Amino acid sequence: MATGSETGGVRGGVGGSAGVAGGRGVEALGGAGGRGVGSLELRIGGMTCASCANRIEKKLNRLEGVTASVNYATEKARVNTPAGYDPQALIAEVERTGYTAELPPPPPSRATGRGDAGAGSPEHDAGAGSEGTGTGPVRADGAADRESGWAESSDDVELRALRQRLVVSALLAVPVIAMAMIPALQFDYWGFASLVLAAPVVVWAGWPFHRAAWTNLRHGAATMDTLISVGTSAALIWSVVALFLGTAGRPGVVHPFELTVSPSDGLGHIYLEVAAGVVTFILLGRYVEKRSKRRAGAALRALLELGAKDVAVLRDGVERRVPIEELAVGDEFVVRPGEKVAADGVVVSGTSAIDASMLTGESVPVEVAEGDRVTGATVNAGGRLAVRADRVGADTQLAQMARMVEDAQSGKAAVQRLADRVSGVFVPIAIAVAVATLGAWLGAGFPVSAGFTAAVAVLIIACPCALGLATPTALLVGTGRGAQMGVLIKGPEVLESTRRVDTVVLDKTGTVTSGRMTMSGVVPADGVERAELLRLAGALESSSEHPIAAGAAAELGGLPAPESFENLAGRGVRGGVGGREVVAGRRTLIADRSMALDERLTAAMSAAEAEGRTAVAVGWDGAARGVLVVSDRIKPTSTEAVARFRELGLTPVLLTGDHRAVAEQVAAEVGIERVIAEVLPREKVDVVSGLQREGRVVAMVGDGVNDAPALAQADLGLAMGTGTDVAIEAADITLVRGDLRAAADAIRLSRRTLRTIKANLFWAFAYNAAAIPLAAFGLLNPMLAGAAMALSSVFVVSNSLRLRTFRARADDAAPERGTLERTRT
Amino acid sequence: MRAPARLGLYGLLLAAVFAVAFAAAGALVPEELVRDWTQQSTQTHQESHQEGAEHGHGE
Repeated sequence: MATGSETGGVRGGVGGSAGVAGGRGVEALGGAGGRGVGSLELRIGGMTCASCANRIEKKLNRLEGVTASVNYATEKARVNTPAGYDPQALIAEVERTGYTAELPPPPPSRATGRGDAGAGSPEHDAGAGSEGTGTGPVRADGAADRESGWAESSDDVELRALRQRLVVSALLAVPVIAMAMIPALQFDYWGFASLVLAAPVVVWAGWPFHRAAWTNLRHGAATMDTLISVGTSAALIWSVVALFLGTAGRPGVVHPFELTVSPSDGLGHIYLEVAAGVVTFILLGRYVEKRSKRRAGAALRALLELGAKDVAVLRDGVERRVPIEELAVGDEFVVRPGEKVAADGVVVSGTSAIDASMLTGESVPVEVAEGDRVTGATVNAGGRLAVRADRVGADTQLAQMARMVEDAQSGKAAVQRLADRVSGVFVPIAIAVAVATLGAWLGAGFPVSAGFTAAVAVLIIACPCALGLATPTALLVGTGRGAQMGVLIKGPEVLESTRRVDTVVLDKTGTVTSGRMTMSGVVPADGVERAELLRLAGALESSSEHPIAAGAAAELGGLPAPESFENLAGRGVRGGVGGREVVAGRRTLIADRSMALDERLTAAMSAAEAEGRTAVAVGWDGAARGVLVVSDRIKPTSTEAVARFRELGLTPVLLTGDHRAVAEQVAAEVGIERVIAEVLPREKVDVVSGLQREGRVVAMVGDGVNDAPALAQADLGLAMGTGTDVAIEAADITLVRGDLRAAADAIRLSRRTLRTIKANLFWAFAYNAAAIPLAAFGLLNPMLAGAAMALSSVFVVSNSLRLRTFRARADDAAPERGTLERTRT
Repeated sequence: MRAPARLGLYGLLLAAVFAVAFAAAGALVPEELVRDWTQQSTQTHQESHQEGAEHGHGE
């Protein structure tokens, strides 16, 4: 793997150490590049829990030459096969297991072999090395389109189908419930009318539950779907029997409006309203859940969209604009000021400054000249550059980062719905109780019909209607409250992690600090006016957009324009201002012009540098005239935020690519003890996994594109809303206002939402579980069943609404803080 | 444990539960209770039938 790809030429402070990043790369799922291995992705359907994914994975892995990894959360299987393997065989195997699989739709843009992570091409062996076979559709543009085509169509279709079922179900269930509850509506043969309305609800609208229950049964598992299917089917079948073979269908039979419990003639009762009501409520819950479900692939899309779409290639001295896919290794391309660099490469001619803020978060443009490396997707902020590409398509740093994000998201263990876990235990018990009931009634000598009535009643009442609402309502209210506070929670799977989190990793720049360099100190030499120093230095630096210019302009209210300007690459700038030649830059630049810094100025510079700040010496007319200090300001709320993390039981860790001195300075100021500094962007994710291997449950707060893989890898990723889109998509929670205290609030809110969900589930089951003995003793009547259903639903919704009272502590005013202008005179 | 084995085991468990409940109820539940229950249930049934008939005719 080429060395120095991350560090060469990037002087802006993203780690200083040279050297290979340890080839972390992607753990290849199967063969290494160059062995004729094909790989593809399949979209898997019908999975209802993480164990389904495991099952499919095992079955696929049993096929000869095939290695597969199935992800429940993203509903995708990544499969490595021998070249020329027929994908239909894979699909058939998945279908035999009881699920569905489909190949991705072809990408709309032209797919070429250039950027393709294929096998054996020389460019790829050189670059791909430990990156593996590139087992995902990670390419410049085709991938983004393919991902969006997949994600959009499939999710939309599913959501539409769900909504259709819900609407039909609700329309039909309302009259059924009304008739059952209101005796005045119980005209002759009302039972049959109920059946006509309720049957489609239970059979058609409830079909997904029955199908899932069957699939689970084949694998010896039970989930919420099993519970619903068994309960509603029992209610429907019993009602049919009661109507046609029992007395429920006789004219004039009514459900007396009484909650009192008495031995009822089961064959005179129908339970269609319970069945229809349960199906409708559960569908409602599922619909709400699905709408808020995070779309996997969004992070990937956002990342890939950062790349350039086309490039001006220089061939035989002629410039031609071509799509990015046509760029090959070795091609020379031109980057004009303001354009994005098309691919990773080396500067062949020209000098400029590159704005890498979207990748690294470093706000100061980095100077580059002939021989320096540049990274694709960064912006050329200065002059015209000609670059020779040495990594294109799937090998660029951007593409690698996208792969890392995807890997991290795939590796995340899916949290099974709590309701499913509870159902897994509850269902076998409920069925056993029903069987015991039957046995007891028959054993005691009661008629068979009575025994069956009681047994079926147990099955019906065991199906909690509020179960389907328990999670979605709490989530809806919790996330709604969060949104008001500026905390955007992506989905329910996030909440479980917040409970166990014990470590929080904080990115420095842009998260703990503002990410913008600001002028924090002015030290004029003896006899020099502060205002004059600012005016001359500011005017000069305004041509390079240096923060000094912004700081000076802010204080003075305006700056003169320089008459001339020259960038002395790497050392500073020089130019004419108001008839004087002014120089600003490093110590060495000033010294070379025989403008020695006196003791005071030297001390000021050293002090600033020791604290990790950047000091700029300024001189004119043959003498050093002052020192200006710029630094990244710590956000006023950061210290308080760190204290709040500790209160929540989290250990904060500062993570940054910046120099150790700077990092430790910042950490000391905000109260963080553990510092991990000088980390290359691609190593951030290793830091997170390292902490996880230590047994910690890690939350990560970041904002830059280079934080994305780490955010995805962390058990809980929080992105600053003021950061990049990619970070936001990769994270689980977005903090809209960029206030670090909101992270502590986000964790508190998530924990409370999780507690609410658990309470909801408990009560949803409790009501029905209390009614099981009533059913077992033959004392259940439809009124009671309906009442239990209504009460538990009302309780669950009310309990969820309590989340609206959650108070955010981040709404408190930011603490008073002095500014960091230590060296003001 | 493979699914068929697990399901088979559960089936056996259900059969055992049924048998135990059957035997226990037979031993513990007094016959008078069963008689009373059957009588009461028939009565309730007849009453609701009458009510229904009146209701139907009264319209």
